[in-house]
Amino acid sequence: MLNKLQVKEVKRYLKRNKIESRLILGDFLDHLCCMIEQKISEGASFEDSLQVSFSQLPGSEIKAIETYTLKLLNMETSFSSRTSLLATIPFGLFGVSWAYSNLGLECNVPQLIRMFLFWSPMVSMFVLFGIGWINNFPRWSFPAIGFCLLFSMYLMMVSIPGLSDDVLGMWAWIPLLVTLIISLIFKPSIEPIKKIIERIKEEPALVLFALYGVAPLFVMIICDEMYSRWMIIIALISSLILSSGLYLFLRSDKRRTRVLSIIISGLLAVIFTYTASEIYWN
Amino acid sequence: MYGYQITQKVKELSSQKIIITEGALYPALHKLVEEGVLVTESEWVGNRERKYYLLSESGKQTAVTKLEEIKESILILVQLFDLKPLVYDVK
Repeated sequence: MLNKLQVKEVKRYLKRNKIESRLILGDFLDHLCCMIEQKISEGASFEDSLQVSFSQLPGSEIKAIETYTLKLLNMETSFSSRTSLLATIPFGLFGVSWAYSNLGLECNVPQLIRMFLFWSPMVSMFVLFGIGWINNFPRWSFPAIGFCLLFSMYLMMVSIPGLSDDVLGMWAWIPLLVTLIISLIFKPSIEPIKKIIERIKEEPALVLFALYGVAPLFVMIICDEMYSRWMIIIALISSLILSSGLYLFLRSDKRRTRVLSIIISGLLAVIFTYTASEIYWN
Repeated sequence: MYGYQITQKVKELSSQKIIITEGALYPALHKLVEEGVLVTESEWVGNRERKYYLLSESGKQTAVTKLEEIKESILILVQLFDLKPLVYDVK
């Protein structure tokens, strides 16, 4: 039986090869230890057994098994460029909407397009939430979860002048409730909720990724009441930074890169927008 | 049984003719756990955790059905290729 240090050596090998999934890490730690113990029982030294076992089961092969297993379980950690780009659409819409708000009042844009530019970012997030529900909430839909929850909470404190002078209160949850009802028609099950919990257990940083969904709205609020053509550039650059963070998070198969990509891009976008707003007001 | 044990058992039962690779075994085990056919139990062996894969109650029924399907497929192949009983009727 391998001692504590020897088991640690095997674990280090798996970590060095970026095996991140708890499921796969546990299976292959025991599997490799069994292989090594088998060789030791046949008379080989620990060092030799270790080297032979690692050459028989290379790290790249274990990583490929991890990727395949997670895909099979609909728990992928990294996605194709196409999926990752599609997931950035709501962020892009926020950018366009924000940019338009800086010149919209001055130019003649048909009412329909105005409405589209104003509502499309929010609607796209709720649509993403619905699609996420139907697909058991893959990672790309997590920003929509964070957005829909926080946006509804934010709306509770907002009043719509043409509608009522009071704040919306519980009425703010109607859009999410409607989205949930529509989603339940397509997938009448609580499986998506279970999957959210499962995925967060597997990688707690997904909570941060869900909160990242509200980042475009947050940077927009920083620039509230600011109308200048220069702000169009700020809006587009800021949205591009946030979209890049989202894209990198979905593309990367390394946990550290994923977390860093959203932290760095989030901070960059906020600092950039805040600095621009300070310059504007001064 | 645990993963490594399954690979060794299959090797032993098939007289070293069938080798289950780790790439075929573990994804299948996890998929079967997700589908509820298998359940897992863990225990500490020395300084590491070992996961045992067991048939669930519903999995036992599924296994019987699947075995029947395999037997039927083998019989169809025997008829198709007109194999002599000697080839497949191994006691």
